[in-house]
Amino acid sequence: MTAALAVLVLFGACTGGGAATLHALGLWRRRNGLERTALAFATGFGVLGWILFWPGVAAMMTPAVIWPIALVMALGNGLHFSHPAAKSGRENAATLSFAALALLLFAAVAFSLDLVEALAPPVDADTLAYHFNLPRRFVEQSAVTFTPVAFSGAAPLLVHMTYTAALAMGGKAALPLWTLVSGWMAAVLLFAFLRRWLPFAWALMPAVIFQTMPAMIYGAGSGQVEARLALFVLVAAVGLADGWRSRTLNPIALAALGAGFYAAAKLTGLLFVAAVGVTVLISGKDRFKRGLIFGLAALAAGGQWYGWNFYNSGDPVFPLMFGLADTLGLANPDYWNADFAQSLKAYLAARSSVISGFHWFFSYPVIATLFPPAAIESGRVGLGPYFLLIAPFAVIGAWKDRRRIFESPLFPVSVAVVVFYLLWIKFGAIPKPRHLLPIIPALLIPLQVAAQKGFAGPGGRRALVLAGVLSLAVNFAAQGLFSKAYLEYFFSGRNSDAFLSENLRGYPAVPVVNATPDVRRLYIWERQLQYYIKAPTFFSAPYSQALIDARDGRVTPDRFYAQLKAQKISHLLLPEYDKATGIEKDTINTAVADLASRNCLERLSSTPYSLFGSRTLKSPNTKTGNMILWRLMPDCPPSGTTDKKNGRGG
Amino acid sequence: MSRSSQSKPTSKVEYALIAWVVIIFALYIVQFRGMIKPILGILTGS
Repeated sequence: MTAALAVLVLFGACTGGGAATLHALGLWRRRNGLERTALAFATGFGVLGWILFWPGVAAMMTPAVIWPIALVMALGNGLHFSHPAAKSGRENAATLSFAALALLLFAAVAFSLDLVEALAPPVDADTLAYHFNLPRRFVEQSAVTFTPVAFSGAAPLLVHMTYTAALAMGGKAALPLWTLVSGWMAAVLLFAFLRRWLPFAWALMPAVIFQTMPAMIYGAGSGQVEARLALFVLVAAVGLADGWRSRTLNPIALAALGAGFYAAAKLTGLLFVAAVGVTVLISGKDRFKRGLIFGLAALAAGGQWYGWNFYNSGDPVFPLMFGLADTLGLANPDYWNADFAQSLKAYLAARSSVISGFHWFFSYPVIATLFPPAAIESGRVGLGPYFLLIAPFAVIGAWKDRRRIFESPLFPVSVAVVVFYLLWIKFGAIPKPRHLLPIIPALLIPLQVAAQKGFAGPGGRRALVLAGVLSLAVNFAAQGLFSKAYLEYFFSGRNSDAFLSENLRGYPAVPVVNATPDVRRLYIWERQLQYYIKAPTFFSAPYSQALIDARDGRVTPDRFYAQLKAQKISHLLLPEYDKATGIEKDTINTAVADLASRNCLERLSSTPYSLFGSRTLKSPNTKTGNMILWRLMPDCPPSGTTDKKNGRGG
Repeated sequence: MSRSSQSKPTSKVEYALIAWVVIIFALYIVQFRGMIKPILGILTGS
């Protein structure tokens, strides 16, 4: 009950805070009801995260502070009543076509399945490793603390501030409910925005396709931020469309807020700021004034986390500007060093080498959709086939309307999407299609409108309908498979431990750890277990942190032990490694085996668990392994001073 | 999606677009052929 109330108040805080922001910018009037409510939510979602940064860094992140902030923001909803919305002038529910009703039914089924997911314990690995785990630590400490881990610790965390609010206000049950609600609002705003140009059903179809595409099914209900970043991209898109060839500069500020919030929530948002900035500069006269307003507003909206990282590590985009920070004498050598910078560079180069070559700028959408290399994790968590299916329709539509194309308010939106895409291919490092998810709604808008314009005549839309129906069919098949485990949990009445043991790799070890006394800090390899372990944890990511060196070929037992002690680790939870058959050299496993042979580690327990790769499509021949819990002994003689015992290591 | 959209005979361009949709969708689906066995396993409970 508290969880539902917390989510309701947070929803009101976003719509209220967004309404007040839009009103302050003079952009509240002359919008229909749905568009301005959805736009208010998207804007307010960013405003909420932005405001909560300050009590977070001031160590005042308590429910007693967060509740009043949310309630005060919710007061902005009064604007909904004091300023009536513009009439949409289109169909009402009584005149909806069969297609529109069928799409609404599809949307209702999809939402119901997502709700069932939200009522189960979260099991997505990244979500449990940091998207939910960081907010949990922030709530426990009533403060935002700096974690010197690249990409998943010292990252822009604006969206995570809203997670922290949900957790602080409504407890653990509120978090998945909040991701459910916030994960749907981009589709609502997409639909509302498309209604400016398209009839009800034609606007609804791409919105439902977007909401049910594999990457959304995978990420929207979890803590993955991309589905929520789409909100900020749409805010920017509305600002760009409204500001195109317009003398008023207020929409530029809205576009800057959207871009800035994106940058405050993920590093790739910096690329989006650049893309929108370029578009703003070409979108009218007074380029200096436009650029200045955009730059200042984007900096105000998105700069806080970069300032926070700079304050703590000397590097605003930790650790990507280590070279400069080190040259200026600002870098903290405990957090990062030249050796790790080189390792990370090599690691990222290897990851991005999958798409090295000029042709990828053009071929990526085709190859990632139809013939994806395994490394980019497309397909099951990809973007579906809809873009490719309607691409020729959009091209024909754009060609037919080519004389007026530069006058269209969707032209700047298209420019921003293309510039972002080119920057992302060049600098995005890890080219997973799901990382493009935030800009997909902004891509769908011009694509769908152009396709419609090209086939406006009677009889010309059969192929477009076929593309939509086939895309929806494959999306719903995927959602059915994805939801099966959640439906079984929901209807079987089993307890959460049984569900987690079946769907979260390594979970059987969690109750063992939680029942072990005196676990002050746990060193862990299976990152997804952190959210459920009561004690503080340390995830030893090899290339994104330097506090405990876990890089293969670089780990030496004595240094490893010293680093564990320095981080106040009391226990370790690691998959079992058979020293007798192992071929590793100077890894965590070999170091643990060595330390165990010297009685520097005490083996406390061994817990069997299933080594499944996918929780959705489990193989019947899944292997099993053992998770070993070790206790770090207070003292450890240096290597060479004790007789080594034979036996199996960690 | 209106009734009027089904009244006019299909042109060559529309045939070409329908063929495009069918071919691209088929190519998209082919990549999941390796998942047939696990999916059948899930559906049959084995």
